[in-house]
Amino acid sequence: MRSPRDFSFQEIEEGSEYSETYRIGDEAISSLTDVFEDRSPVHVDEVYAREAGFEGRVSHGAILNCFLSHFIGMRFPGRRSMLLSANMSYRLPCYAGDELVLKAVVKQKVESAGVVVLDVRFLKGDREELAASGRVQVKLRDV
Amino acid sequence: MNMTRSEVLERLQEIFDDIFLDEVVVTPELSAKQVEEWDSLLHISLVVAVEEAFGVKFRVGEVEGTGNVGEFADLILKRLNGTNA
Repeated sequence: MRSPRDFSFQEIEEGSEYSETYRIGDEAISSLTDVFEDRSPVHVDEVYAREAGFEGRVSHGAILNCFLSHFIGMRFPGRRSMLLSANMSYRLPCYAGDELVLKAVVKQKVESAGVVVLDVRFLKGDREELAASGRVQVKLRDV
Repeated sequence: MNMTRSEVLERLQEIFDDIFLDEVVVTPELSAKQVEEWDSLLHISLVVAVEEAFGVKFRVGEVEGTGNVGEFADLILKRLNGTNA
């Protein structure tokens, strides 16, 4: 198991970019369904989802937020992070087995608040289609 | 960016409209104590939005040193005019 990375506020530069690859596993969808009981048919009923025009059962958008949470707390900025806000827009349906690259660009450093603002994008598959995008505010603790 | 104090307050009103759920009328006398929703986390969002909207940077503790929105607007004007004092 990898330890969380540890970027300090001072180390972070505006314009710098960080990324991580995630895969939507069946277990993520089933766990989220079981724990939060979101059994909307588009997530759990293959036939219904296809009749509704999708390629199959659509993964919960919240799974992308879980990846984002992992990214902020474990990859960038890492252990000092406190997520203040995450405003996400979901652009494309995602399915079990999809591979997504999360790319984050440091849009703004707010020295007086110890906050970094990140523009984040989830890019899907080899064609890097924009699956979701958003803006995130992260406060960094001193330690 | 050349702006008057009233133009800064007008722009602040737009930012407040975006950030606060309830309607908050910006006046120079307005302070955080008068707005229930204006807590420390919302204050951070406000500072983030103001820095982006006006293209200015504040130093640590500087915004917290202002007593009301009018003083905050004056601080923004100082930064817009390149005054560091």
